Amino acid sequence: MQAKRNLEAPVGTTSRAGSLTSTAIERLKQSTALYTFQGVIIAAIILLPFLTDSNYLITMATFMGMYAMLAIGLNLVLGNAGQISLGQGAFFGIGAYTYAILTKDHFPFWFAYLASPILAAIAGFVVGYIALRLRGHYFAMATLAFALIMHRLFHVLPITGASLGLYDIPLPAFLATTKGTMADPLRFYYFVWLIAALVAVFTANVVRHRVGRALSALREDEVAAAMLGINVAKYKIEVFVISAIYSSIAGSLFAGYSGLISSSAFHLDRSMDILLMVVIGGLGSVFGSILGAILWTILPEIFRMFESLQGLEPYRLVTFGIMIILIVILWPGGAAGALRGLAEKWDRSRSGANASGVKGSNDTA
Amino acid sequence: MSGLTIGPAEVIQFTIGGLTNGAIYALVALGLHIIFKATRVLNFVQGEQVVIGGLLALTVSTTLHAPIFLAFVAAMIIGGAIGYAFERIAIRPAYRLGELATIMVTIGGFVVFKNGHQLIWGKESIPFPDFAFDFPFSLATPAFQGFAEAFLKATGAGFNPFAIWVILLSILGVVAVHLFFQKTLFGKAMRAVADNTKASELMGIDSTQVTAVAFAMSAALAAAAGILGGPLLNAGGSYGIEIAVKGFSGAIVGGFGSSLGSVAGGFIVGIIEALSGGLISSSYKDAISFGIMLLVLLVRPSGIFGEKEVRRS
Repeated sequence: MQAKRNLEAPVGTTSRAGSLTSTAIERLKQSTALYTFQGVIIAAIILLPFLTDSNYLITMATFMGMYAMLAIGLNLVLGNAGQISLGQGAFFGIGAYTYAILTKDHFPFWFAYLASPILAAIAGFVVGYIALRLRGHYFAMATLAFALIMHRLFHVLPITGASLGLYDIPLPAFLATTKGTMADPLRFYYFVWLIAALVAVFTANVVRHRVGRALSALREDEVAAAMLGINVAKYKIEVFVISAIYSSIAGSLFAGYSGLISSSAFHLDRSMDILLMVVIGGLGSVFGSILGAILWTILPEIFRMFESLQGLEPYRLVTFGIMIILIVILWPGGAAGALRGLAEKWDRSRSGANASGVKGSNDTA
Repeated sequence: MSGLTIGPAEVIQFTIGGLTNGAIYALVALGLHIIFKATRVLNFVQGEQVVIGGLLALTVSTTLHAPIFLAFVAAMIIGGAIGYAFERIAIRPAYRLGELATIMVTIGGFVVFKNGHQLIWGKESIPFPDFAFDFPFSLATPAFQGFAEAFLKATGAGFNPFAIWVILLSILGVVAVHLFFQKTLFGKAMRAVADNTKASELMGIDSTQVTAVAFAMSAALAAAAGILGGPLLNAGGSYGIEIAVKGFSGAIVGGFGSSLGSVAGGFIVGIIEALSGGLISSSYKDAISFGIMLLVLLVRPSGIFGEKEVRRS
């Protein structure tokens, strides 16, 4: 029963208006240990270039930032609106191709960075409008079909370079190395994480305010929410469009950073990866999405690093699938949920009986 | 379409091809429908069960030198057992966590099954023998030859004897499933659970057993689709997810809530796909068949033949 609550009502949501205030207080009192941990992650992201001069690590961490945007977007749809989207990879592709096509055609960069999310938002609205009005989980299949269509189109359309893809994709001067058109690793790293931070802050606000409250209401009980005058479909579509925008921003950054793109980068596997990040990180948590993106990027590296684990490499993907199943069933809060639990335990052991009162009210809610 | 004229003969030819593909989609759609009815969730593993069915049949027939029809039966039984085990091990614990969790588990299962069979059988697809000439499927009889020639003379379109088996056997499978639901006690129990789980449990029906059998049945149907589709799709590789979406498109177009609607939808998607591939461009045929599904979702969410089962929120 506890597990069910965790999955359906993540962080700080409750179905009763009466206990809402106590939840708000709880959030203010959010574990100092957890804050410390979040602070460490943020500091690590900011200081990473000073800690290492390995280009490989910086590149990896740059991709982490893009994945974080993708994961935050999907988590909004999955964790907050309770809908599975398998189409995030397609929006990622729309963003990447829009940026690549426009910049290669010598449109100004700001225009390309603006057009990508706008196009993705339109696509997201159309798909969301068709599939999100339906009850049940048709949405997952509809977004899957959308992902397959887009992948096929990227692969055959002349404008996307068909199976060859597009290359020599330009970058704005402030992100490129001084002499060439290559991305400057450091500048790009900070640029990506700056955008990721903006996305995270914006999302945290969306979740905390009107849209987030409406969403948690409708996730608890769609009928009751609809009776209260919440336009269920509208909010779901809104959130889906936001996630499409995030994915396309990540896509346009990806296209500029790698300089070449082809349809294989936007295959269904991409959407599956993002789903896995969200599940590992923790449903309904912005911090969890970032954590998921980081863990997902590091995990294969760990496999590679330890000699004894290398034999397991072929089983990595199967293991990922088993992890999805296990986490969903046994550990619905993901890494963020586990950390929260640990942090609360730690806080309690430090401050003794003081904090246990607050914790108690949470258990009964 | 340079140089190629499209006449009635070509259209008939494409339609036969479409019916053949459609028969396979119909089996997938029916399997998805059965699980949807029993659990209210979409089963993302379905497509990989199709692939595994084909691979199992191939392995049984090549390593044991078993006749293809025995391999057919064996693959359906093993496939069904895998589906049953998957329900027991992974779906059952998730079921009480809600629909969202259950679908997530089937997506996790998709990742496991896909990479699992690629680990065992490899990533490349393996040629699958055309079984239309093997006992008991051989159609090399004078009567059939005569029929095929007469058909060619009348319409200008030829057909592969294998296509006849695919269409006939899948229709047979659909009829068998239909009779099972209508006539047998267990089939009726399954329908009762789908209609109202609580009430049927009060009547003494073991609903968990029903769910497990639903997964086994749809996995066996998927295996059948993998074998029948073998000569077309080959065995193994990564076609699983596409065929799952094709089957789902069929179910949506026909009506997910109704079994015969799902089957009819599978055939419709097959025909639309073949015609658009032949008459427009094969590059866009997948996009068109998925687009049709989105269109039906937009205009008639309950499907062409469906009752108003799907509600708008």
